Amino acid sequence: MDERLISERQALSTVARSESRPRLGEALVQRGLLRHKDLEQALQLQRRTGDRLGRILIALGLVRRWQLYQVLAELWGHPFVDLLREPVDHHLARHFDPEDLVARRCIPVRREGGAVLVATAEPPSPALAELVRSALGPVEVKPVVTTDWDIDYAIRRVFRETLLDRATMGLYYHNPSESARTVFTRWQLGALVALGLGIAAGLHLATTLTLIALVALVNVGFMANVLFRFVVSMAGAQFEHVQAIGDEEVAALRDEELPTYTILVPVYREANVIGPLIENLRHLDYPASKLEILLLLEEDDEETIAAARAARPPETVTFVTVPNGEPKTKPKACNVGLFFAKGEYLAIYDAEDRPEPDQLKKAVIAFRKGPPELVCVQAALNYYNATENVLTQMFTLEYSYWFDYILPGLDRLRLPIPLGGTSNHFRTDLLRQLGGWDPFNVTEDADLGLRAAAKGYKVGVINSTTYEEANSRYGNWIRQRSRWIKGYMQTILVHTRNPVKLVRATGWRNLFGFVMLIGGTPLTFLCVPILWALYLAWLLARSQLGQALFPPAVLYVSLFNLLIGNGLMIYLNMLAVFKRRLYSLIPFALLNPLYWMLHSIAAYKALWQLLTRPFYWEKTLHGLSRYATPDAALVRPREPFA
Amino acid sequence: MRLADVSWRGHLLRVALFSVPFVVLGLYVQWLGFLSDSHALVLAKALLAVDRGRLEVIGFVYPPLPFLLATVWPSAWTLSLLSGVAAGATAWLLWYDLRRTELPLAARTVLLASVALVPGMLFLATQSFQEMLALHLLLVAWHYFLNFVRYGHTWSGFTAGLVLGLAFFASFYAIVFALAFALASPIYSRLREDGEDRSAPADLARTMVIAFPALWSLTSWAYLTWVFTGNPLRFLSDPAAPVLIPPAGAAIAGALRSALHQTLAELLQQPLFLAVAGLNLLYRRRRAVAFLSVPLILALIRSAGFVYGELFALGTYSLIALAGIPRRISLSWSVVLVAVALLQVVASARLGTQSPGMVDWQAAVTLGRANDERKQERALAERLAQAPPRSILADDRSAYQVIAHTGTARPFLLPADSEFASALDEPREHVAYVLAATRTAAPGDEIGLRFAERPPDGFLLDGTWAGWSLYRRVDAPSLLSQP
Repeated sequence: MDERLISERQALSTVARSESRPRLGEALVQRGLLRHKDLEQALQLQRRTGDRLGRILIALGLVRRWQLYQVLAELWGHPFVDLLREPVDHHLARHFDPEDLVARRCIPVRREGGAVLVATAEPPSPALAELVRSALGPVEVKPVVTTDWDIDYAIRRVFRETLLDRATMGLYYHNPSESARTVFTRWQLGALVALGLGIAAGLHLATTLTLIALVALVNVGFMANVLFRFVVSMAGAQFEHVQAIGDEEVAALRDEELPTYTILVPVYREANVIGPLIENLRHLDYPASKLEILLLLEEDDEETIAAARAARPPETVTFVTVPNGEPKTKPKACNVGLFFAKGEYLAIYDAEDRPEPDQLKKAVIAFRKGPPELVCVQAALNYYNATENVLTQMFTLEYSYWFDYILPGLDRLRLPIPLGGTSNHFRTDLLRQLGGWDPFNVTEDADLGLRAAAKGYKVGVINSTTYEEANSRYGNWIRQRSRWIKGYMQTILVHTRNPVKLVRATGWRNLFGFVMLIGGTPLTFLCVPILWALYLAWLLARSQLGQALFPPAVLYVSLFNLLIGNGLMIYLNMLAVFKRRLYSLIPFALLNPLYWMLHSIAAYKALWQLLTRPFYWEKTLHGLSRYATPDAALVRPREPFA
Repeated sequence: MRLADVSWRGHLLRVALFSVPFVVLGLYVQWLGFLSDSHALVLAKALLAVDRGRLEVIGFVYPPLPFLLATVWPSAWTLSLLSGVAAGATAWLLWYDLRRTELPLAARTVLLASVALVPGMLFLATQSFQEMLALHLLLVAWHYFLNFVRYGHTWSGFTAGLVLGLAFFASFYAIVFALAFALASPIYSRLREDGEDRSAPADLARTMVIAFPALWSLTSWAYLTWVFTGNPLRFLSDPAAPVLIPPAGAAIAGALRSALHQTLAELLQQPLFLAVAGLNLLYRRRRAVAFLSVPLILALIRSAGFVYGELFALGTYSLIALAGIPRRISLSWSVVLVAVALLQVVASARLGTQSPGMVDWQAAVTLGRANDERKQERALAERLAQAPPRSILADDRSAYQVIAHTGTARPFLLPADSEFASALDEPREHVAYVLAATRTAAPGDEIGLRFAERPPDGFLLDGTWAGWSLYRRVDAPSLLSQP
C-alpha cells in the first residue's frame, strides 16, 4: 500500500512538474533568446510540418543551436556540457558501437566514481540507461545535455580510425567479391593471360585467320552496341512526354507528410564553388527543418574548409570532416556521410549542382508510389553552360541523350540503370543494407546501381533535372571521362567475378543490358580507333592483305558499322535536342564521330590507369565556366503530350 | 495520332487480310509462267549472290533492298509474295486513312477499289516489288511525319526519317520525298495551335530529323559505289532501275517542255487526284499547295533527265489522292468523289498498258497463259539448269529472264565473275556454251555484240529461239537436243 502511494505521489509530482515546466518556446522567450512573433512564426511552421519546434527554430536561424540545448538542459533538469571543451574519455566511448551512438544521439563522456556521465541530445530516458548498462554493466547513468552537433563531432573524433576503416573497407569486409579493391581476381587474371597467349599463338600459327577473327569480333561487338543503343533510345523516345510525377502531385504534398531528408555534398579542393553551392541548396523547396545537409570536407583540404566557414552556411548545413586516408575518393567521403545520415531519404549532389527546387519532393513521391524494393531514383542531369563552346555543346547533347532517352528507355525495357554521379536519391535504410558505396571504384554510382539490381532492388528515374557545369576544357574533359571509363571497367570486372551467380541473381535480360552498357561502352571506345585505322589503311593502301582481313561476312558487318553505325549514332544524337528544346545544338550532332575520338583517348588513358593506378581519383576542376547563371537556351521540358 | 490506335498485331492481321488478293494474283500469274522484267532482274542478281556467296559480286545493284530481301529465299514465288504483301500493307494504310474521313463504307470501298484494281496498279502491286515497296515505305513515313509535325511526337519524327532513309534503298525518289517532307515541316509547325517553338533552330532541327537519314543513305550508297566501281553515281544508270537517262543533246528548255507535256497528260488521267486537290482547296486551303506541288516536282525531275515511270507516277498520285481526302466532307461531296473514282477507273485503265511487260501480263491474266516467247524462255531455262557449273557464258544484263527462270546462277559464267573477261576473249578455253542475245542486247552486253550473228571460234550453234542463240563447244554435248 505504502509503495503504491509512493509511486502515485511520484507520478503526480512528475505531472505537476511537467505542468509547471514552461514549454521550449516560452522558455526561450522568457530568457530573451527568442522574440514572441518569431515563436509564432515557428509554431505556425510546426503546425504545417509536424516537425520539432527546436529543429524549426534552428533551421530558421532564430536560435543558435547551443542556446537551444542549454534551455533544453534546464527544461530536462540536467546540466549542459560543451563537448568542444569537455574532453571525452576515448577508451570509455569505445565500448560502444558508434552506429548506436549516432542513432541514439548520445556519447559517454567520462566516469565519475561509480557513475558514468553520458552526453545526450535527446530527452534522457530509461532506454539511454539501458544502452549504457548493456555495454558497461550495472552502473549509475548521469545524463548531461549537449547539442546533436557536439555528439556527432565527438563521435568523429573518438572513432576517427573506425570511421575511416568502415568507410574504406566496410564493403570489402562485408563481401570482398563486391569490392573493386581487388582489381582482377585470380581467374580473371588467368583468363586475360590465357587470352593474350591465345592471341599470340594464333598470330604466330595462323596470322590471317586470327586477325580475321579479331576484326570480326570487334566489328560484331560494335554493331551490337550500336543496335542496342538504338533500341533503348527509341524506347525512351516513345514515352518522351510521359511525366512520371506531375506538378499537381507535388503541389498536393503536405509538409507534415515529408520525412527528414539528408543531402550529402562531397567537396574537395572546391573552395571557389562553396558560395554558389550554399546558394543553390537554399532554393530547394523542402521544409528547412527537415533537411540535413552534410558538407563532406576532406581533413587535409584546409582551403575548402576555410571557404566553407567563410560562407557562413545556415544551421541546416553541417560540416563533416572526412578522415584523411587512401583511397581519397568521393565514395569514401559519402560513406562517412552515410554513417551520420539521419534522413529517411538521402541524396548526393556535387558542389556545382543546381537541382530543380521540387526534386526532393518528386523523389519522395516516387518512392511512395514505387515498389518496396525501389532503392534509388535518378534525376536527370544537364548543363547550364551548354552553349559555352563546342565541347560543352557536345557534352550537353550527350547528357541529354543519356538522361532523357537512354535511362528512360532502360527503365521502360526493365533493364538495369547505371546511376549518374549525382542527384541519386536513396532510401537510406536500403542503401545501408547494400553496404554503401565502394570507395575503390571511381564510378561508385554505376557500381551501386548494378549492385542494387544484382540483389533484386530496383532503380528508377524521376522527371526532374539537376544542372551542372559542363566541362569546357578538353584536358579537364579527358581527365573526367577517363575516370568514368576506368570506373566502368572496374565495375564490369567486379560484377563478372561470378557470372553464374550474377545470371541467377539478375536474369539473362539484366545481364545482357549490363554487359552492353557497362562493358560495351569502354570496349566500343577502345575499338573505335582500331576500326578507323583499319579503314584508313584499307582505303589508302587497298592492299591484298587488307582485303584478306575482310572476308564477305566481316566486310558486310564492317561496312554496316562504318556507314549505318556512324549514321545511326549521329542521328540518335539529334534525338537529344527535342525534350528540352535545345534545338540550337542539333548541328553539333554531326560532330559525333569526332566526339567519340575524344572518348577513345580517354578510354586508353583509363585502361592505362586501371593497370597502374586503379584507385586514383582523377579530380575534375569546377568553376571554370564563365556562365554565372543558368543558360537562357535551356528551358523546361515540354508539357505532357496530349 | 495516326497508327497508334491499332496495336502492332492488329496492323499485321489487317496487312495479311489486305494482301490476300494481291498475293493470289501474283502467284497465279507466276504459275502461268509470267515473270516481269523487274522481278527477273532482281531474282537473277539474288541467285548470283547466293550462288557465289558474296553480295558485292552483283556490282551493287540498285535499289538494293528488294534484292537483299530476295536473297533470303531467291525464287519468283518469293518476289510475288513480297510484292503482294507490300501492296496489301499499302492498301491497309489507305483504308485506315479512308476510315478517318468518316465517309460511308460503300464510298470508301469504291474509292479504294478504283485505285487498287485498275490494271496499272495491279501490275505495279504484283509485278514490281521495288516500286510497291517504295510506295509503301513513303506512305508509312507520311503517317509518322504527320504525327511529328502535328503533335510534336519525337519518336514519330525519327521513325519517319528512318523509314525515308530505308526507302532510299527501294527507290531513288525517296530523296525527293524526304526533302519535300523536310521542307514542309516548318510550314506544319506554324499551323499548330499549341505554341510550339517556331524559331529558326527549331525549324532546322525538325528539317534535319526528316532529311538526314535519306541523305545519309544516298551518301553512303554513293560512297560504296565509288569505292567498288570508281563512279559514285553509277547506280543511277543501273539496268535494274534506270533512274537517270542523260538527255542526248536535248536543250534544257526542250526537256522541260517535254516533261511538262508528259506530266500534264498523266495528270489528266488522274481525275481522283484532281478532285481531291479541289476538295482541299475548299476545305484545307493550305494543304492544296502540297497537292499542286506534286506534278510540278515530277515535271522537274523528268526535265533533269530522271526517269519517273508511268506506273510509279500512277501509284504516287493514287496514294496522295486517297491519303489526302479531307475529313468530314459533306455527303454531296462524297457522292461526287465516288463518281470521280469511277471515272478514275476508266481514265487510268490504259496507263502503262503499252509497255511490253504489261501487255504480256495482261494477256496472261486474261487468257490464262503466258505468251509463247515466255514459254520458250522457260523451256530453255529448264535445259540450261542441267549444264555443269560455270559452263555457260552469258551476260545478265540481257539474260536476266533466262537466269531467273533457271532458278540458279550456277551454270552461268557472268560479268560479275573474275574470269568472265578472259572467257569472253577465249570462250573455248573457259566455257562449254555461250548464250547470246540476237535481238537488241542491253548496253554493255559484249556477248550479244560479238556473237549475235556468228558463233565464237570452236563453237557450233546448238539452237535459236525468240531472241536467243545458244552455241556449244564442238566437244560439248547439246543441251537443247537432249530428251
